[in-house]
Amino acid sequence: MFRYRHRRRQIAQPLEGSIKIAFVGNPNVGKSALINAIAGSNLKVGNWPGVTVEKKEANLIINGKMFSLVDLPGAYSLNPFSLEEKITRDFLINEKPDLIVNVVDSNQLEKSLFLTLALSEFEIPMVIALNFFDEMIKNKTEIDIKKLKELLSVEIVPTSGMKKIGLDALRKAIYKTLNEGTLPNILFEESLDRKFNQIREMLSDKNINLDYPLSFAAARVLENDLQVVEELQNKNLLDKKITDLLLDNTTYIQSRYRLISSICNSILVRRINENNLTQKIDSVLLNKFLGLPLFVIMMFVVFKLTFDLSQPFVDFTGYLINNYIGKYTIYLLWFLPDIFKSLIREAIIGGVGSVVSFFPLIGIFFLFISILEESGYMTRAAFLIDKLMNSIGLSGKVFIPLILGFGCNVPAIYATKGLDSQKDRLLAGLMIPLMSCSARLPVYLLFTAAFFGSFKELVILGLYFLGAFIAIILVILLQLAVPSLKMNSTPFILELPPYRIPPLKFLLRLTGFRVKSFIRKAGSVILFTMILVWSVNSLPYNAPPGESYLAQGSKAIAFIFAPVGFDKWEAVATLLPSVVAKEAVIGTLGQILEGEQGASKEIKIPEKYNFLSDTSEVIVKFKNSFIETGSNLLNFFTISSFQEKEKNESLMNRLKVLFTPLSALSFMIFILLFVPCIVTISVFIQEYGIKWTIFEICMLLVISYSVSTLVFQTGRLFIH
Amino acid sequence: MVLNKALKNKKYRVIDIKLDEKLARRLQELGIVKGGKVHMVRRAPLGDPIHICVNGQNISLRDSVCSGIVIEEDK
Repeated sequence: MFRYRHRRRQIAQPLEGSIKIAFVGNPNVGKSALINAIAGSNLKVGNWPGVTVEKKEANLIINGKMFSLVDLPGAYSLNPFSLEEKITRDFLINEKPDLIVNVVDSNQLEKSLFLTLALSEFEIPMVIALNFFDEMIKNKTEIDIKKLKELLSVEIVPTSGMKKIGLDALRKAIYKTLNEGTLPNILFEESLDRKFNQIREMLSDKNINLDYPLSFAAARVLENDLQVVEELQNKNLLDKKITDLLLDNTTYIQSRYRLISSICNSILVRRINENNLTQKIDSVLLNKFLGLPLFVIMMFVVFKLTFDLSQPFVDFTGYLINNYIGKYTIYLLWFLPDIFKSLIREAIIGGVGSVVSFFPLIGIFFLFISILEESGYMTRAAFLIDKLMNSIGLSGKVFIPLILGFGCNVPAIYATKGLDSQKDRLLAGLMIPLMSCSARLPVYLLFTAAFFGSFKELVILGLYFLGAFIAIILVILLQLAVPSLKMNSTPFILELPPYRIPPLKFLLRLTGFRVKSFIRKAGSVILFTMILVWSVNSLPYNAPPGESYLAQGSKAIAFIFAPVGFDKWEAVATLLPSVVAKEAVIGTLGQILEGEQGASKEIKIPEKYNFLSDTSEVIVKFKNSFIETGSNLLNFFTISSFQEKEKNESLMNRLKVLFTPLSALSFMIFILLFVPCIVTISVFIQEYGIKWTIFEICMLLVISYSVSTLVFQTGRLFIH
Repeated sequence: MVLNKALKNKKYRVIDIKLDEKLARRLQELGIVKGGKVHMVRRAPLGDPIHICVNGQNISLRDSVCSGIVIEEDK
């Protein structure tokens, strides 16, 4: 029927310098797990330049040679449909890697081979990793590897990245292929093969330096790819002899699929029909009646577990660093003047503390998000909720980061990494700071208790809705205003991968890895801000709170906030500390309103140093955080974060002098919509770059100022 | 008829794809090709998108895309 022809073999250039190896495969084939297993701790995660698509790479030295591995974004084909595919294609064309590792899902060979055939056109040596091979054996399917190897003229290695199977064999195959320099066969059906060769020869005869590999160009011309054909036409490379051979791309793709199915028929042995466990699970999880309730429960569980499990440990880490490590660092640095002690303790150790205290939260969060992603449920969630999100121009997957934002904006921003399009990622990122995180709640609790008495729950709920409502309006307006966001660039086509149980070891590896990259990247921005805020807050040193630089500055600009309803400088002075952490608003107000003795009291009240008893207290607190976690789990259905920890009557009374109920409302709205905390900002910079971060901050300044003003001024009309 | 009118749990054959070239191409790359078989699995609980199965692969498509995929019942 079909003729497979062995094509030229040629020896690639001798190996020198760093050897570039690109991992390419469809989405959901376990590519990241595989590169992760091979590279281990050498793996670095960043973004591709200028976009929010995750880039994983690793440099390894093996036998004295430098290998640089790059994980290219998942692609179904190399006719770029999504940004990810464009990145992958451009990398293969421009960077010309020395070798491609094509990661293939053994269970879905038909789908994967489409990309494999396209990759062979790049004239780059290739190794195929038959991933999820263990699952295929369980499914009682067999692949005639030897035959496939002959057909494609590439090394083929059964692997499982999640279970670390076949890694050595893969390394060996990579060396072998690099040494021999064998190129993969380029397969076509017979009728196309002739035309392909004719075009390839004619292009080759022109002897002109193409921007593409010759076979790639010939195949694109054959299928009448608009972009390549136009480029070649502009260079006068296409004469009538060539254009006569052009097909349309429907004919081309159909021929590709016929070829693939004939290959599969000849190499695949299926003993029983494919695993239908996934279908059974789907019939429950995607059920017309059960689907949505189960989704809500699942979201609730993830949300609760993430925040309830981590909260006691976040508190403990904060305590450990500020009250123990901080205290004894200062003790050891007794010879320094007080001002430096204060700087080290409050700004530097405090800054380190605020990064480190995020570990438990980020760690647990990443663990759950990895489970959702790797098990295959994440795409189902998107399927279930898609219609809702589609109505504001987003895809279903955006829902999950937004919900997480109500717990903490930081992991929510990280969760946008998993979204499928650049547009979704960016818009979700811009929305998240408007989701009222749990650190803003103590501020609402204090103010509503002071001013709204029995209406306080209603007011708090209203604030949550207000944030979400403004986020929705914002997304609609942004899509109208920014042309590149207007068109739905990637129509929602979602693959629902088979359900998998990811091994715990793999999940932990993934989590540890992501936490490490958080520390590395968030640290410096946070430290810088902490020092800045400390300087304005504590200098001139030993001045009463009313005369610090922060107070002086706030007094100078207080008039700006008159329309918003809080022209008192004390309220204005909380805004800058709120950028360190939202709950710092309360501490700052306390310091200012309750006079000098409140100010930096940790340093001024002489501390008792009893190393043994302090150490044992740390251990007790550590133990208690486990107990608290356990009790949080037992009280699963109470919203623990809603309970006030302590009532501060004296502070509430002082607030009543400073605010009216209306200006208090306006203040809470301002805190809700104001610039997010520094940890969120530093993660935002990491994900979206400095330009979008500045855009977001400016936008939030405008929104918070105008919405609060609107509320205050409207309220005044009714009250008078 | 078009794919949005497909009935749950029935098999169909694709006869035409009337969508812009880029989108049509992507669908074909996923195996939704003229003459190919499509199994309509279910609709999402909110009515959109549609869950179909092609070559053993589960895919979710929005109504707006499905309205461009012309099908007939597969006998």
